[in-house]
Amino acid sequence: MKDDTISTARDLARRARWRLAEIVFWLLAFAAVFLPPGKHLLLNEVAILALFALSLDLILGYAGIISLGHAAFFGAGAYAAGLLCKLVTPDPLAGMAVAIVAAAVLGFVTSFLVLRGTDLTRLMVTLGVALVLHEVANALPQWTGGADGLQGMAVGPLLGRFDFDLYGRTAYAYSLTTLFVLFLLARRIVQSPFGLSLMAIRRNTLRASALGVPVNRRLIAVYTLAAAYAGAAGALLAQTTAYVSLEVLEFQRSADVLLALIIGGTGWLYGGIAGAVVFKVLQDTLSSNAPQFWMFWMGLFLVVLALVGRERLSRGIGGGVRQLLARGRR
Amino acid sequence: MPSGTLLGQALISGVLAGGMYGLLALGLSLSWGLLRLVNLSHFALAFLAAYLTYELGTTYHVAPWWAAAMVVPVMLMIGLAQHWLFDRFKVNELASLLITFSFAVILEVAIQLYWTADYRRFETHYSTMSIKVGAFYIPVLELALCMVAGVLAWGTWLWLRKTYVGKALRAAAEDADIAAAYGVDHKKLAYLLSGMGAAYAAIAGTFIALIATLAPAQIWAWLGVVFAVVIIGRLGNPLGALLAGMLIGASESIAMAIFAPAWAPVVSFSVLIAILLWDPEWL
Repeated sequence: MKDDTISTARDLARRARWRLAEIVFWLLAFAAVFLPPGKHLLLNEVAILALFALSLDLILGYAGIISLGHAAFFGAGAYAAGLLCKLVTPDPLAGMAVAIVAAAVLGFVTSFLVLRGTDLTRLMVTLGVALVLHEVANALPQWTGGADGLQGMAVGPLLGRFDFDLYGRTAYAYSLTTLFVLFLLARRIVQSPFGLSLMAIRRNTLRASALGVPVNRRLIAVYTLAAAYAGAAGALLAQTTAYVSLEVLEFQRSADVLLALIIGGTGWLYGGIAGAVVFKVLQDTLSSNAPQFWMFWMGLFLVVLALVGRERLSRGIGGGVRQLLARGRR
Repeated sequence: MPSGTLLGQALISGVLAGGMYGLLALGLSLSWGLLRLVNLSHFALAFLAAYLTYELGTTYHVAPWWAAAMVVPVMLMIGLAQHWLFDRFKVNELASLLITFSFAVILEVAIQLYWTADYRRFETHYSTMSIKVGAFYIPVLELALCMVAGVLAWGTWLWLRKTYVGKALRAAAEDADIAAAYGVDHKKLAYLLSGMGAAYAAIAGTFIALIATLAPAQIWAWLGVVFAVVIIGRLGNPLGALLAGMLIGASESIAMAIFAPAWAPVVSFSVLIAILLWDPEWL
């Protein structure tokens, strides 16, 4: 029994250790800040989508809540940051803080709706909350600018020193730093007893509650947390583009983030980041020639992914690469 | 507050417009409730059928009902083919959502390639015809739509309730293993139901061609409302789907008349959320 505990603890500690690949990845990501100008706008978009997907991973990958309306929190954060900038203070960090709080409050309130009923109810309620919010934003043009969007945001310099430039270098550095800080926090959270209890809930809710895990409270907590993360991503978009439109609340955005996360794989935190990189880079390259074909390839890819399954697909690609290498050696 | 006539007219057009929600919800409700497959491509199939009806009508001057007679079997085959894929790969609920979403995207691109992203309107002399009852006007096309939807919903409901095949389907949805032990061939029934769903999409599509303006992006326009309708009408209940459609249509139309048009889309989900708050076991 005691051996079991020790080996489990060792196992958990091993899982929590930083791997070389992780460290290299983050170093490369930060090194990209110093690239010559040109790709920073795209990189900024990647970082924002990555943070948004990370937020979805917290509820889908760790708590098993599927959301079709995660844009609700992204949009809430974006509008909160935008309005604060326009009406109160241009300081981006203050906007970020307000956006996080606003999205978290919305997440906390709606979590009570989302957690009622089964998986399918959740799907519909998340979709519904986002759609209702979209329509409310559309119906209140005096606040949100309606279909014209929230214009005239003059975002102040970061930390009072770094101005947001036209090429997006500051924007990327800001988004990446936010992503990194929140990633560290998420990494710590999922490895804590709290995170482990979430995974227990996802695997078997009934058994988890029999073991004394307060299922509903945990789900409310993680849903609120994920909403806060999504709000941060929304704030990043609003501040780095100095513009908020109704698009931040659209179904398309919820679908995109779900797709990005599914491409990267759920439940390991890097899935959202990997998916965001693949998604945005593919979108950028494919849609430069023909925008509609980008969606076509995306659709086709998803069909294959869903039908064949990620394991078999990656094993297939890995196997193919290995075969090629073996052939090359011969 | 608007006048009684206006409210009455809003109620009538709302109920009639809700017939379209109900008709679209019918096929979705069946596959979701009885097969546990969330079929997002249902909307894309309906629009493909609408575009085919439009093409047949404008280029070859085929009357809408003959067009429907041609389009329905085509959609039926597509529905069966899609189900073959699901069956072959043992697709679960989430994967079905993902795959049918992708199908819908692919179909949207295909429609856009052939018919371009321009708005298309299939003008027939039916579209302006209406019957005058007292102070109210009842558009003929919408009335026909509601009657067709009513017949289909009532027929499907009776079929599920009274016939052996229908009962077997419901039993298999309740507990596939036990039903199989009693000799229900769930696989065959699932094909039947998928084909039916696609045929319903085709019928809805014919009416979409006659009533609405067509554009590829419109595929997604009804997604939220119709999903809400499917749930409010309870999964797998055809009559419920139609009634919920009419209820939502009427509430939207009245909300539009009393408040502002912008608030109409909020109605369906407010009703849905209220129902879920009242009874979380609704689904």
